[in-house]
Amino acid sequence: MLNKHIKGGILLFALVLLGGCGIPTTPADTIKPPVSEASIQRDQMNREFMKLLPNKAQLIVPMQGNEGDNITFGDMDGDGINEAVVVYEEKKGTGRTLKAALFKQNNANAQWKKIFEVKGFGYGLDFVGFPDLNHDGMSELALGWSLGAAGNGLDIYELSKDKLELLSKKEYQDTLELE
Amino acid sequence: MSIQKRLVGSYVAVICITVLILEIFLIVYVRYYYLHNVERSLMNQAELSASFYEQYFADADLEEQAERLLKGFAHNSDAQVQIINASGRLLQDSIGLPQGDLTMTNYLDVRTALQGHAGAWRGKDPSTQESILAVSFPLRSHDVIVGEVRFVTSLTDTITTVKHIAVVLISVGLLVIAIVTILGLLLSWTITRSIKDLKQAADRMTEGDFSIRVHKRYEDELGSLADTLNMMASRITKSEQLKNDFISSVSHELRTPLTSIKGWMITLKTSGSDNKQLLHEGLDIIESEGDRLNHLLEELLDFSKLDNGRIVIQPAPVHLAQLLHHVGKQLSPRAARQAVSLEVQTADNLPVLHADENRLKQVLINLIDNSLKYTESSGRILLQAHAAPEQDQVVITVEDTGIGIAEEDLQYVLQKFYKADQHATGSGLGLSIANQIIKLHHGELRIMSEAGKGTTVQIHLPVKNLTIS
Repeated sequence: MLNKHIKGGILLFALVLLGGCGIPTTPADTIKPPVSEASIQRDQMNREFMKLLPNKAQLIVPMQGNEGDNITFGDMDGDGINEAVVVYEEKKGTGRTLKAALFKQNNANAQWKKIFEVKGFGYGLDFVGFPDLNHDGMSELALGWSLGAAGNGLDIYELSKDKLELLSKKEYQDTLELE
Repeated sequence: MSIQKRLVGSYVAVICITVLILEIFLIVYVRYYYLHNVERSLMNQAELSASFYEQYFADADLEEQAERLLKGFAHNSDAQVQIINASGRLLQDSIGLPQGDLTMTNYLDVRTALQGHAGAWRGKDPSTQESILAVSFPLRSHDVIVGEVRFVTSLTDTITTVKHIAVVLISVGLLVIAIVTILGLLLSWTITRSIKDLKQAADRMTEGDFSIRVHKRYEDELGSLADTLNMMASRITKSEQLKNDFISSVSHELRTPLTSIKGWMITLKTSGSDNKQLLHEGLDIIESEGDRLNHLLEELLDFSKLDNGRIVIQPAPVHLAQLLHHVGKQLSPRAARQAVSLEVQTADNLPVLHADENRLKQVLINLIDNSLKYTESSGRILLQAHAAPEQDQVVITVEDTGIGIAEEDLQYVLQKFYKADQHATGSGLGLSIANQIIKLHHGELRIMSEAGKGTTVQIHLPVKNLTIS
């Protein structure tokens, strides 16, 4: 019957329309550097930390130092075992929040565990490091947040009983002088 | 209003309303989505800038570092960025400070932000009349509002995009309406086409043409209506046929005695004056035939009143031998005229039957009449009766040497109005009526025939238990 043909046609048309939605990746999107041994190790570490972070978190590489690595290590409690800090960005609706997460390695099984998290400011991360500013043998955590040309803000944290405590907060321009 | 118009009209009305509601909803939603998102992202930017200021730059004077702050605030934004001090004066503007009055307090969002809340304002730029959206966020230094950061965006592109989407949506809506209209037209066409066919056929039937048949297009309600109409037409045609057949059958019934009367008249006219005995005999037959004719007419009047040709039987004792001889005598003039020998043989042991004599006579005359009709001259017709005591039956046989009946016609000859040869005289009712009458007597009429050799009709009548209702 005529109606059946029309129905079939509409169905086919809808199928073609829907099928058109799955556009494959463009050629330019497939370009990426080849894997190296170091990058494999780093990727593995990244994945391990990513598992401990909230879903859809994006790791951020500081603009200064660290050779493009997004995980920074330092001994904050003086036990000889390095802690690690990861700065990530979390998207929420139209906005986004920066956060720094501190990880500690378990003595027994070398498993990483998130022990504390602090909020970040500005557009991005300028610097992250573990300098010993008060020379007590234990490193402090220095986080330099950036607001582009307006300047940067430096937060110094100290680890006390598995908690990060803010020691100081100051602004700095272009170059960071920790001392 | 035609069905097509109504159908398509309601179809289109429903889809128009649906599409309209959907379009309004979608367009309003898209507009809200765009404007809301633009406002949200400006607000986020402003909040981020303000909180950074509060954290790190709050100690220094706002006015002094305004130029540097502006660069940072504007860093990630395409919007126009302004820094305003606590008294509402414009300190910095990413597109350059305007000449003249720098007071910004006439904007609602600026006033709201100076009171310590995030402010948003949508309106027209006073100088260019362009649609703009402005978001202001207070800058705090140790919980004191020292100024505000303001992000301003043009809404021209946003509105253009929303308009573009609206055009697409409206086009799709119109397309849907067009498709539905075409579909509705097609659908209603399939219905109205059938209805038009039916109407045309019904019109023709009204004019009296019952040979017309409706073409059935689909197996739907209208299709079954077409079937019903066709069936009705064929029933009417059939009953028309039945009426005609009835008229000719009645004529046939009337003609049989008239034939006899006329035959005798001719005989008496030629030789009646010489032979007194023949004259008496002839006049007797004419009289009885006249009576029979009268009787038939009376019966016809009854017949017309009765359903479907039901015939009433009036049983009385019948001497079969007498009856057979009487019938033989009655038809012998015609047989003689056709040079066909008509013989009557009756057995001696025939019992007296309890039957309707007139009806039996009618049957016999009918059968012999048929035989005479189909027997060539020098043929022979034998009318015979014998008893079959073992079955308590009497068997009457009419045997002729006529043209016989073809095998394929034999099974139909007892049906009403059936005629093997359509051009033959008679109504085709004779045998059927004879069969009916015999059946009413609880008897049986059997026809055996072979084309070219002749026909034998046997009437089996029960002797006892002939109770006639």
